Amino acid sequence: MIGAPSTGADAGMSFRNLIHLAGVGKSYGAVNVLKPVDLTIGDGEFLTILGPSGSGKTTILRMLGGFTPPSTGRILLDGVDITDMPIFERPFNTVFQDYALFPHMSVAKNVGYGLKMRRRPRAEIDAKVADVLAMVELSDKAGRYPAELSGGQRQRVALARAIVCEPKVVLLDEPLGALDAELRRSMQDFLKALQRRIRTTFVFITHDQEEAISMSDRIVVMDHGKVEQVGTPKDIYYRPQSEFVAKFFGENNILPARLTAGADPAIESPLGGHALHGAAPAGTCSVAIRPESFSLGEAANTAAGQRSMVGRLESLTFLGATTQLVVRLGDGSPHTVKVRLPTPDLGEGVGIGEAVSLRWSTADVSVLNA
Amino acid sequence: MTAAERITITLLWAVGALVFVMLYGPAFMVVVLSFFDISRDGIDWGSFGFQWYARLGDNPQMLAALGNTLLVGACAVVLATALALGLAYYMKTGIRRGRPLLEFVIFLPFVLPAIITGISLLVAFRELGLERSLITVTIGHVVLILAIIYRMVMIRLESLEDSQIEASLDLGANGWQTFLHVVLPQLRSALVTSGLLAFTLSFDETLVTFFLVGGEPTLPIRLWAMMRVGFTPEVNALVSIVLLVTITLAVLGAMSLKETMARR
Amino acid sequence: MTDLSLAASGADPAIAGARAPHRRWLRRTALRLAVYGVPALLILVPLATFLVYSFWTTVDGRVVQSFTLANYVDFLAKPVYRGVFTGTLWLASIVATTSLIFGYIIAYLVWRLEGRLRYFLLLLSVIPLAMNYIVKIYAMRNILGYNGSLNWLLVHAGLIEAPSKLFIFNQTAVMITMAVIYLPYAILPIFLSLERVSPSLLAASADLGGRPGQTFRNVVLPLSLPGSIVGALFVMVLALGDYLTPQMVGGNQGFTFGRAIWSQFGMAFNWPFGAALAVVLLLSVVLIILVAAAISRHARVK
Repeated sequence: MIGAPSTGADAGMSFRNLIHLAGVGKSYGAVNVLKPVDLTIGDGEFLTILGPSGSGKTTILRMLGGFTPPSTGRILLDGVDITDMPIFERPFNTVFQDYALFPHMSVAKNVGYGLKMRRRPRAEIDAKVADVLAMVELSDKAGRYPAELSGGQRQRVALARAIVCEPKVVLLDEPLGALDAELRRSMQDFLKALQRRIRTTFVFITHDQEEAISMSDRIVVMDHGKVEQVGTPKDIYYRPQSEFVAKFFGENNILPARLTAGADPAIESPLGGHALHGAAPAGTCSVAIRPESFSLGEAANTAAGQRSMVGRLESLTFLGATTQLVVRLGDGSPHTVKVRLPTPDLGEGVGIGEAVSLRWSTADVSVLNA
Repeated sequence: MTAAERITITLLWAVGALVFVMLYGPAFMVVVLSFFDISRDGIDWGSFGFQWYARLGDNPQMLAALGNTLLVGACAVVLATALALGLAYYMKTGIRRGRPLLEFVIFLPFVLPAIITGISLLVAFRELGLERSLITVTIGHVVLILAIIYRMVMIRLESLEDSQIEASLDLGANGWQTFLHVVLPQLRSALVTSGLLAFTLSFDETLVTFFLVGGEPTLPIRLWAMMRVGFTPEVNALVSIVLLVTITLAVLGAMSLKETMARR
Repeated sequence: MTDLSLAASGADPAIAGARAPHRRWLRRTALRLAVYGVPALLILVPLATFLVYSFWTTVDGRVVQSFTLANYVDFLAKPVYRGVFTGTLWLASIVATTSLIFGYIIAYLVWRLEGRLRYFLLLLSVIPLAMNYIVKIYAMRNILGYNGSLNWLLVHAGLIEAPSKLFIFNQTAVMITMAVIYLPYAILPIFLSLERVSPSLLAASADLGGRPGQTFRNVVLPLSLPGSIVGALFVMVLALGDYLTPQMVGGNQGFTFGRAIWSQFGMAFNWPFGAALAVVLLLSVVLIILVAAAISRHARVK
């Protein structure tokens, strides 16, 4: 990832490198909250940093914003070292988790604060504030105070305040965390549309996997102060590189595997052998395959790059549009897999204990580092 | 409630009423007497009027003392507020290991008897060669009221989210602008409340002032000097005014305190 | 959060950057010096000067700066001062006990109330704090004096033949006046310690069959007493240091330790000896504060 331009696979866009975190880490005394990270962020990219609480995601954001100085490493913006640049000189603006709206200022005053601190002329401030308030659909609330607004409205004021100065990067610290599910979904769409419109880099922090997948160009998955994987939502979902990532998003089948010795190293698992891409994992490892990557079909019809296996049905759960099957991989095998199929594919149905023929593509099997 | 408990509570209320009479009675008597002429034979009940209040205005010494008190109070509140604000903001914005020690020192004059504070300042001023004047009195009052203002500012600052300050810096304001535009406006009610309480305290301060006062007395000192001579209806009138002023200040302070606490 | 630090000057690594480390260090040090220096200069330096003074002496009314323990020896050797000291301790204890009892009664009655009446009575019990101290002494003297209201009342009620001098210019007058003046200082702390008794405890006691009287004896009183005693000790400190009340209503008999100290700075003009007496007062006050701190710590552990 380092130094190479990364691609927003979903949008089919490519981004120029804007920010480079070079070996940035943080420790408080002996406690290491963030292991050194190397990461590039593209210009105009929607990058999500995803992880459970305590994973170090907020630390990265705070170091970007200048609130916390890193213990090691440098932060470069367009090749210029900004590690020691004071907060108020950084061309970054933040949407805080608690919004941090100034309670003693009206909505318009809140939004115009950054411009006022930059000593812009009054007329320019008024015009820009009006523009941005229109963009977040709050033109009629300019004279109100934060205490008089709903949660979603406060959220949009915080957003307007962060974009009005046209920063190079907008940092968003779990901004949707305080909203209820329905409002959250509509805010996700709104945020994504806004980001596309103003073409500004968003670095978005969340612990919600669905949110990350639906909004981001790229996702940085973190756990225990360490970056687990960086990639597009599809990469992260279908090609996890670690057990943590494989388990973090939805349901997955994780099966033990081992490295076969020989001149051409390969991986041996209950699903058969797989060619190894990249570095060989040390000793034990595992493989993952999504339940929906399986289909039903005879071994004879298998196309190139596909595998098949006959298993025995252990249970069957009707879930509506899909049905979940639990299949034992051969009689006497200790391993079972979950299989999710569109309900119509099952036709007349299969009885418990009967043989089922599974088919999958080897490309859908990911090798995980322990 | 049993009958015995009912009787106990009733008895307690009787005692309580008596205590309130003791607390307010003396002051009440003074206020009542301020409206009448008093002679050797007793109170002339027929002489009701504001004659003694009118004569207060002709007493330049008293007016000067009142002026001194107001001046000292205003200066002390302003100085102590500026100092307390600076100290509290410094202690709040960062990990300050010296904070418990500093707070201990600030609260000392509040805990120690006034006579100790008074003597300390007296000998220190003398060693510094500072003559007793309204300036020494003002410094003494700053020392006394610093703790109250610091405490109230700190309580409000502690309830201020760090993100408020971070947001301001993030939007391009420097430390000073952040203090001016974001922190100070949110401290306003705490400053008004603590200023009112501190001014009330300064207005009444006697036990420390006694050691520090020079040729220009404050009102309590002047009152004390007048009372030593003997009590005149004029003193009653002055005392009534002082009571009215301080009680008004205190009630305003208490109301503003209630509001400040509710807003947190 | 933890390492965000921004003093008004912005002198912090996160903000100021690494551009001028030397100037930054200077600014930081200057700031720190001001923050700790000003309170030290205003409070600690005077206290230290006063302690040093107590080891000096006077010759012909002039302060001589030579170290001596003579002032302390004088205090211990002269039974007059020791007598005044113990007498004042006794007086202050009685004032403190009186304010504990009556303060508790008032605070308890207010605490039991609800709504506006409660706030009003609480305000009524703290307003006397704002009444001018001199005015209160003056008013008490008007009541207790030979021509005072108390005598007038008693004579008119036929209880005594002629006005009595029993109520003024003696130790009793000092005690009564101090009790009235300092009572409001006890009410507020006692009320606050009653406020700390959780309502759920009262509900639990009632639920378990405790009658109001039993609940008071077994729950309310034990939980609020430590805080109340601390309030009373605060009153004791105030009474110990008072010198104007005894001067104004005590006459020749109502001589207290505070008054003795004060006279060294006035008529007697022996500042070092006065300072030494004040150190003795300071030590007893520190002792009282330590007891109060121990009581509140003990109460919190429970």
